[in-house]
Amino acid sequence: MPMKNWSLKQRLTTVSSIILLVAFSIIFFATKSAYLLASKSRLQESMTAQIYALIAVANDDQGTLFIPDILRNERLENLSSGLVAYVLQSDGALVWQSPSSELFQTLPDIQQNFTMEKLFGSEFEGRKMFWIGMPLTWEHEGSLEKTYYFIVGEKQSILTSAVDKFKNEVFAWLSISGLLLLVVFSYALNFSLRPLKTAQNQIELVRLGEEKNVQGDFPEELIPLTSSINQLLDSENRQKSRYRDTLGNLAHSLKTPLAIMKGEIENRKISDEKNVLTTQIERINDIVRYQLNRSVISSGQTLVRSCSVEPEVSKIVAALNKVHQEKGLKIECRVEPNTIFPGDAGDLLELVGNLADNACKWTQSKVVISAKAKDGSFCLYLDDDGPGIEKQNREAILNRGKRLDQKTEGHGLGLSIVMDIIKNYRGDISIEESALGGALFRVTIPL
Amino acid sequence: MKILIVEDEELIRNNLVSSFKANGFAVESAANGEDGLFLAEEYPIDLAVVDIGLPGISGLELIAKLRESDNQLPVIILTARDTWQDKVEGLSTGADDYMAKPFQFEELLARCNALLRRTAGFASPLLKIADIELDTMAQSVRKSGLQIELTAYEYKVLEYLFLNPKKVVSKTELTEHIYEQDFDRDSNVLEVFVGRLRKKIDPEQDLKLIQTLRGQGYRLNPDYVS
Repeated sequence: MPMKNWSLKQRLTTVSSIILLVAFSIIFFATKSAYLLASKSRLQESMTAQIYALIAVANDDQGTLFIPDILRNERLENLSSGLVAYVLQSDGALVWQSPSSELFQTLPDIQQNFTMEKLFGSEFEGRKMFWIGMPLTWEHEGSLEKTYYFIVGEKQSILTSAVDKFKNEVFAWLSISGLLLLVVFSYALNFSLRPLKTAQNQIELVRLGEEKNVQGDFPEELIPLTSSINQLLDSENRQKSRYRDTLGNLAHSLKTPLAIMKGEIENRKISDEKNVLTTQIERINDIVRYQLNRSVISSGQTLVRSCSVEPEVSKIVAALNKVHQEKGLKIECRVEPNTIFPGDAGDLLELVGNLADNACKWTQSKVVISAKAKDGSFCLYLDDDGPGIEKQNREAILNRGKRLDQKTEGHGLGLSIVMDIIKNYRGDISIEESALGGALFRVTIPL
Repeated sequence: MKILIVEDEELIRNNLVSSFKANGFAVESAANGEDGLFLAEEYPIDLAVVDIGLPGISGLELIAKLRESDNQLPVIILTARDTWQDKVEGLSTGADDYMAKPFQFEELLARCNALLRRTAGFASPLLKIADIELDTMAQSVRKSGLQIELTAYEYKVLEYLFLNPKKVVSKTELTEHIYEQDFDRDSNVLEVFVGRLRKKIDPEQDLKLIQTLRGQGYRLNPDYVS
């Protein structure tokens, strides 16, 4: 999924995880290096103490320096301890070395400029060592001055093992606190995003036609959004009803004169003139009816995109039962519960009303209106037990529905309106043979 | 039968009034919703034809007010708007049928007759009681298949009795339903009509279809009315 499609939750989780990771890495490396520094200076101190201890026990012995076997650190005696000490002459020759240093074949190189200020790290005969050292000018008897180098070495691993141990400890604690923080954070995230989730649900309800507007209390950041949606819905509704009113008034003002003309003409004696006028008035009326009814169909996307099918079909059934009561029809409504029509309720009424009215005109005794959602489409079926429609005529009837000027008796304007709605919703219509014996009109509209 | 026409467009109203009169109806008419409602509530109307787009209270409001006060007067609405949303709205408000404008008078008449029959509980346009058959479409009466010639008023009396078969119909009620409100009423004239009607539909005097209940009015013989 491309990043710009990520949900807010995904984004926040990702960002906070990255922040957590970066922050904890910095903390980890900072504590590690601080600890390393502190350990190094402690090591340096103890090595310095070794040198001073050596200097303290050094004795003059006939013009050379002698280190007695007293005050010895046990580690200096131990061959594998890693702590070594040397006393060298200024030319690099050995004066004294600790028993532990017999591990090494060679002597440290005094050219290395060992100091007391800094640990000098080097690889010595394959072992990583820290060194410190200091030159000392010794005044022997007879004003003989000689410079000696006191050098102490320590294996580096003494430091790294401590640091490793510390590192592991810190890592464990940071991991635990990181996990805890993630838990707390996800809770905080849910808490903060809850109003958004509520708004999302509310808007979904509006979209499904379950609610008239977005309801509930929202934090101030969301109020501009929710109130604009409500305003939009409100103005859409008002616009729609104003549009309907305007069309209604237009219909009224166009059809009243037509009705008068028709009434007047009906009172005339039968003549060619009367026939011509009657036909032309019918024609005008058909065009007005078609264009007005057609302009009520919503032309495309509106905010409220769905409506529940069952209540609308029930209204049609009740209306048809009244209008066709004379015929004693049985009009059945078989809409699966929770079926949704992906559009305006007015369009659904028009679609079902026209098809069902046609079915009522043609049927013998029974009309069944069924609807359900199937394969991602809204499906509407109208069955009747009338004479049915011959296979070869089916295509022609639907094609004629597309053209007003070629309408057929009984499948007239209504079918034209139906075809318009189906076209607007990118749906499909077909005529088949009904299980009841008559015609089956099948409409599918993608959800 | 007395019909009420509520239509604000004078030409249409006049046309309807004369057409309904020509077809044997007693007609009351009103040009706006208020007058229409008053007539519907105060006069013995059998059927109303109401235009939806009325000045003042609209046709739908008129029907809603009638139904609110539990008046079941059959109503056909005339409407210029004929989307299903409008039809459903009109019919669910309480109208019994609708006609889209412009309409053919014959169709409106057929629907009015059908609605009157429906209200009386008959399914077919032929009402048959005993051996008398009344055709509300053709406004003709047959006895055992043979046509009987009736005057317009004689037919109106018989039709009213046929459409109220289980009811005792008083002379006043009968007068009100077959005459306009400003007609000079004389119950003696009605008695003459009924007397002539009896002779025409029952020349042998063996059927006794129309009974007189002294002080109450007329009714169809309950023996023939199931």
